[in-house]
Amino acid sequence: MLEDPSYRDIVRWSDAGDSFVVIETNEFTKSILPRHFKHSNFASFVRQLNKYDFHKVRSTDEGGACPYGESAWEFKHPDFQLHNKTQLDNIKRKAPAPRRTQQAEEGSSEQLSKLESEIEYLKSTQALLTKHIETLTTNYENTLNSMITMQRSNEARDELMRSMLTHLQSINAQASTPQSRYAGTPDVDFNHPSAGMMGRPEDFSSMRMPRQEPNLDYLNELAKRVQVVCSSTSSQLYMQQQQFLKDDRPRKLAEHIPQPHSDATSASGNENMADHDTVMEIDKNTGLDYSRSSKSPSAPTYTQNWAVPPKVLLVEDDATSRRVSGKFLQIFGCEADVAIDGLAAVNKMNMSKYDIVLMDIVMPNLDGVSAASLIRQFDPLTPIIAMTGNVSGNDVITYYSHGMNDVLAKPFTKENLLAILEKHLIHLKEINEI
Amino acid sequence: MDPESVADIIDWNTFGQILEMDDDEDDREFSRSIVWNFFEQAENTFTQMDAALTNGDLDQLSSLGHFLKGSSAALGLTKVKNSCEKIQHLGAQKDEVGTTELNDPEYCLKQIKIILESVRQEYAESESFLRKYYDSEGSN
Repeated sequence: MLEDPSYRDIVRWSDAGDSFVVIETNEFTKSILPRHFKHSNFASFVRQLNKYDFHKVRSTDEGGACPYGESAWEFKHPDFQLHNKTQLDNIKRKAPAPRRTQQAEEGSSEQLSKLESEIEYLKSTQALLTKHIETLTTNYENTLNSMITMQRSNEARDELMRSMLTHLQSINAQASTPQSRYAGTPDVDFNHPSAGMMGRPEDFSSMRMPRQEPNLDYLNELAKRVQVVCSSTSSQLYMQQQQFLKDDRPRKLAEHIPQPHSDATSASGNENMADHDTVMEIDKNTGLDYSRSSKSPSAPTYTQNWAVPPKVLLVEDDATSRRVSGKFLQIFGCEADVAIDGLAAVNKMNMSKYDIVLMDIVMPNLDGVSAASLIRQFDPLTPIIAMTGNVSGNDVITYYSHGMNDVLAKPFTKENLLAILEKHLIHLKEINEI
Repeated sequence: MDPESVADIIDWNTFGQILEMDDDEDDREFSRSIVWNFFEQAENTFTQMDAALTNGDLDQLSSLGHFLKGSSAALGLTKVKNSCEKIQHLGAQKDEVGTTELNDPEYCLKQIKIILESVRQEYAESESFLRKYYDSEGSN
């Protein structure tokens, strides 16, 4: 454009070719600026030139005599020369305020390094946390495993206790009734309160005999203790026990425990009471007899063998059943709380924590099944036992499907009740029962 | 009373274990109060049953039957318990054992009326037996 002769009077290269001259600023502003810029303002154009490092050549340098006329403006840039286009690339817009730019760069790099260090820090923290969580998980698994192991050993020990107690009782029975003294078959003395133990043969039949084997050391230890306990009794009895415990033990356990009924029958058979009806009659009378001898030796079987007294919620609308069950629970060393219907039960469960719930089914206001499913909405774990006379298959399925855990058939004996409690509250049982 | 008929009235396994809960064998305070409460409860229930029978309210009869069944069972009063169970089933318009639907209100009411008479009789036997039992216990 500067070389275009048609604009020669307006704008052109200087004579030296190292600058350009705007001869007629007015004409330049009017006719040329609008073609190349969005504006038609000479001052803006000059500002732009300044930004690109063009400088106005002072026209007054040579004594005020300007070679291109009064209103001419000459602009110069070291790289802006006639016929030298390659240097045009060097003409750049001046970076505004270069010092500040550097500062900003320093600032951002500082920030960057700060962020990087923060990321590093977060990464390391996260690694630590992950490691910690892994440790916790391992610990949790270990704890869970040891809990299960403990529960199992408790269970095994428990069974052992039961069998030992039964042994002790049968030995006591032999001592008190010399005619039926130990003679090859273990006797359960029918007239002895230990007959109460017969109420739950299912407990004994569920004993897993193989589990006795790893516990032989423990059994021997128990046997020693038994010997100590019995050392005050006759030496003959002592010998019997020793033999009984040492030689015949495994076989005796197997024979003795699962068949209390047949043993009992044979015992009464020995007493010439083979007639079935008579046996039944005796059964009733015995029940009465041993009930009359209260503070009976059977009491210790039911004394508190809990590590912690279980909290039981008894839900029952019938006052008679409530009082009888409540008394049983008291005898078993439980802390019993009562609710008179399903609604009260749900409220009580909301208010406090129980170890087990004994739930009647048919009740006013809210029946047991509905109460159980309501309770399950906020308490998924506490065992709920249905107490009911309706124990047909479909009923039981209904109970289980509404979140109940077990069924206690009504009317129940206190042995049934105790069996249910021990089954579901095994974690509360005292470890050293003997 | 001979043992045979006593066995019909009361199940000693059940009643015996309630007696066992008595702290003091002389006054038998615990079991006695339960039994005496039961007497009250039973009288009350019979009165309500009569009213429900007059009104032909089978639902109410079934519910009352269930209620008295529970408490008599808890004491081991077998006869009363069995009759109450029948009333419960008939009130729900089922047969006496509760397996078949009857859908015959008139018949059910009629049956309940008959059973109600006999259960009163059975209850009276049980009551007099229990009262005698506690009288003799008290004098021991």
